[in-house]
Amino acid sequence: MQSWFYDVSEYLDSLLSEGEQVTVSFAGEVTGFARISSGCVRQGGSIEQRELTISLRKDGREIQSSVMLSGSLQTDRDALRAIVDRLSSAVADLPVDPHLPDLPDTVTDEQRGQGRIPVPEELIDAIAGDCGDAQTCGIAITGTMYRGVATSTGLRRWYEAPLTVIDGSMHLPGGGATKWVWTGENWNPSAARSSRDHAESMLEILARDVQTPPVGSYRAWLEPAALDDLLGPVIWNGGFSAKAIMTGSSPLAPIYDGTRLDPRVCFRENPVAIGVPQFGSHGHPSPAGLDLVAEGVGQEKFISPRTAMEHGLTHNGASSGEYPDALEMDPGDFDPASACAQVGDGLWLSHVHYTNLAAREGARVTGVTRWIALRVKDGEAVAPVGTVRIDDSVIRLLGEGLIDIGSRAELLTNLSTYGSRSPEGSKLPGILVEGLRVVG
Amino acid sequence: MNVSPTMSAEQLVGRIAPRGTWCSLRIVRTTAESFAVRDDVLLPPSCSEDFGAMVTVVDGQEMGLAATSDLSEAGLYQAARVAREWAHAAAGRGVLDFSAAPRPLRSGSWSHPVEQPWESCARSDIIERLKNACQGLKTDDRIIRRVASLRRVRTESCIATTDDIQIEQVHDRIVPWLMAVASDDEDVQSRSNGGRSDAQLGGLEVLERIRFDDLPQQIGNDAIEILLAPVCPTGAMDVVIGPAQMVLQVHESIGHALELDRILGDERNYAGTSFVKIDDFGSLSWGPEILNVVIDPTVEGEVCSAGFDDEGLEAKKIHLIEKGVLRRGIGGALSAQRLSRPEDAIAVSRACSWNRPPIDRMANLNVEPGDTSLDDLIAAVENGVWLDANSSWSIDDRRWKFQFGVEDARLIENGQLAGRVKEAGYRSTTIPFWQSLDAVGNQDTWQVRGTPNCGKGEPNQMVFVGHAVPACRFRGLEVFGREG
Repeated sequence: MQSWFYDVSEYLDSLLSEGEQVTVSFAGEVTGFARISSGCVRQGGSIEQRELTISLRKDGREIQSSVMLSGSLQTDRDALRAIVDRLSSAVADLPVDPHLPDLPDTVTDEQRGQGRIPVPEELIDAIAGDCGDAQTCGIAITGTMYRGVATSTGLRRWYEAPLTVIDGSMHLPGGGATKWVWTGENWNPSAARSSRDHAESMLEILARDVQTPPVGSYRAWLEPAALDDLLGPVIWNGGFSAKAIMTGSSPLAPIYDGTRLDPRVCFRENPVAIGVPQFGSHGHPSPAGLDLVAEGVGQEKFISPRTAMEHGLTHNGASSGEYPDALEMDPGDFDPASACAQVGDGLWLSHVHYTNLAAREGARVTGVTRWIALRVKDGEAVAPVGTVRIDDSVIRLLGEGLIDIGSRAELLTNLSTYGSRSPEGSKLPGILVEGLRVVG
Repeated sequence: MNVSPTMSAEQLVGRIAPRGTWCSLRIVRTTAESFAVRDDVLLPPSCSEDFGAMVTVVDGQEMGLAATSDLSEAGLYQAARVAREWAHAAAGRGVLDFSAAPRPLRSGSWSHPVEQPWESCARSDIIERLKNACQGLKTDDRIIRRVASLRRVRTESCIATTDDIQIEQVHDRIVPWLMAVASDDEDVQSRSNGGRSDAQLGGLEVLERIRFDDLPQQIGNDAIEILLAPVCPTGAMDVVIGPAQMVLQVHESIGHALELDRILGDERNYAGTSFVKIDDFGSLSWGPEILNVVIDPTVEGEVCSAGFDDEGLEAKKIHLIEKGVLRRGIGGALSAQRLSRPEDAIAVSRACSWNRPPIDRMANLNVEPGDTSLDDLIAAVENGVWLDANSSWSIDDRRWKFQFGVEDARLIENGQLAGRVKEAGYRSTTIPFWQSLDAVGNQDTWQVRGTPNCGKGEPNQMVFVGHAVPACRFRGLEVFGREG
């Protein structure tokens, strides 16, 4: 795949006219998937796709076109030539783009993960079959993801990584359900089985009668995935985006302007620790080791090359959306195994489902309990809580409401497969909070 | 649409099918073009061509899939073999006997009228129009960010099977987007053209239909009014919900709740399940008699009007909720067969593209207009609030407990619209909410709207969904402001 991509890039370079430059960005995958319902295969198959995005620039203007290719340069040659001809003709009619960033410095590098990918039968075995009264459901997905960038100025960057994701759940007849996720570059069926067994062990408490807590405020332990759920809408509404912070539209703008989170809260962007591509779609090096929040205070922000041009800043390679691809939060000293004991009377939540920003002020987020949501009394988990709505300020939860931070940060692979598989992820600990607001 | 210069898709599928199997080829070409002007600066324009095929092979009782962007005969031949391998890998473990699954029965083609083709307009004119729109959003110095964009998405699809069936369809969709962000020392607020629900089928005439050139000034003015408005009061009150919010309300608390693959359990690991049970069809009172909900593939300009679904079932208008009573769910032929209700199959089995298999989706999910004028909807509210244009949405995985927020909220006092309020939200549960429906707006309040962003499925799929809806009045809702 890599040599084919570089051949395509060289061919595109050969088509350029005087004064034109091109950036070629590639996203490809060879994927196998098995989708399971009630323990059986609903859909299983393979996906092979190779999407190329060609950005052509001339005289301070840029235009881009994406195309899905066959994988044979011989076959794709005519389509590529037609695209370059079209872009070359159209770019001249555009107005000069005052914020068009420079192309990145020329560099050649590659990241290459290695590991065994399971064959279809193994993939199905890992997730199919029911567990006692519980029906299993979910998707097992495997294969190699590819990303590449090349420029006509000579930059060549490549990323490829095998990744297997088992994203499953078990559903009791009464409605209780537990979720399990195993991810790894190297297929390890016994490790995947352990994750599944752990999820199965939670079914006993989920089979008990539901005890729905009344509206009110509760001490609560939020597992790493639950914290990830709460951070999601804050981030995609511009949380750490330099542009959004400058205009005040970021829900986290206050922490860059005097409002302080708990001093134990530290967030950074760490693509190396999480194994994501270390370059963006135009080939700029990704932000690495970017301290977004240190000791509870907003520090650095994601500054894309375009924002930098627009506002006279220095960019840090952030993507155009100025989102993290590899958000990491420092763990604390709190032992997650003692969460119920420390909650005393309150809640233990594995996830917060379907979160969304309810109000920008305070970074107020709402969502509902899903999967393992437990009522804790006298330091013991006693019953599932069913579906309750959470509505609270993330700034408060990570500020005055924060009691402690878990000692174990969990790698949370981005499970999204809209359009293509995603190499992104985050690494977060759980948090113990006071006064989590249940509104219904 | 052909991928081979020398043979039809129908001939091609016959050549690639492994011996002794049933095979289908679903070819999809999506071409898109986008222009966006942000704060008076044109962002780099983009276009795309996404072209590929999904091969489905049924061998014995099992089904396997293979999606490929290699559309050569050799590439498709290889994909068919990979699909057969997946069928064999699932031997004895499929959710049903796929050899007995419903298959397309009739060939055909479908397209829709386009009055002003996208290609008929010079790109420079489109850019100029967007620049004017972006400038129009700047109604006040407190408008700090403005975006005006247009996206055109053309989808050509072809289904061919070894039963000598060939079905072709073409959809041209336009997605307009306008947004203004207003800010002062105290607050930041935004306003858009209806919470991303202005997608329509057609060419550039869509822009006249939605009065695109008139909207910027109104949106800019609204953003300033919202910025300066008091926060919405909290309490139980009567509400009139406008069409741009009804889109989201119907989508989340009727559409997803009725999808058969949720009820069958296929979606339990991702999008969720449903509180609806099979026994509810034909008996559950969803709302009062004035509530009529249909799947209607015949509405001109609505984004999911179609002749067939992606499994080849012919599309027709059908009631889901009739005079308040739930009649059937939203499911294609396969789901209906799995539930032993084959007569309830609707042409809604859809895939977002060639690289994802069809699943049960909303298509055009509409609320039929009633007979109450907008003035009368409002006149019967003594103390309440007008809610329109979604800004925030959250609902549980059974589609029962929801909380939504809106951009456009105004108090209603003594039967008249009064001052604007901001950060309004409301929460309820599905059946009690719809039971509180008190009046359905007439044809004048009914708007054909649509969204490009309905996510579901594993692997994930994002599709267009159409909703044509009137304004409606509900009694005694829990409404709140900033503190929630």
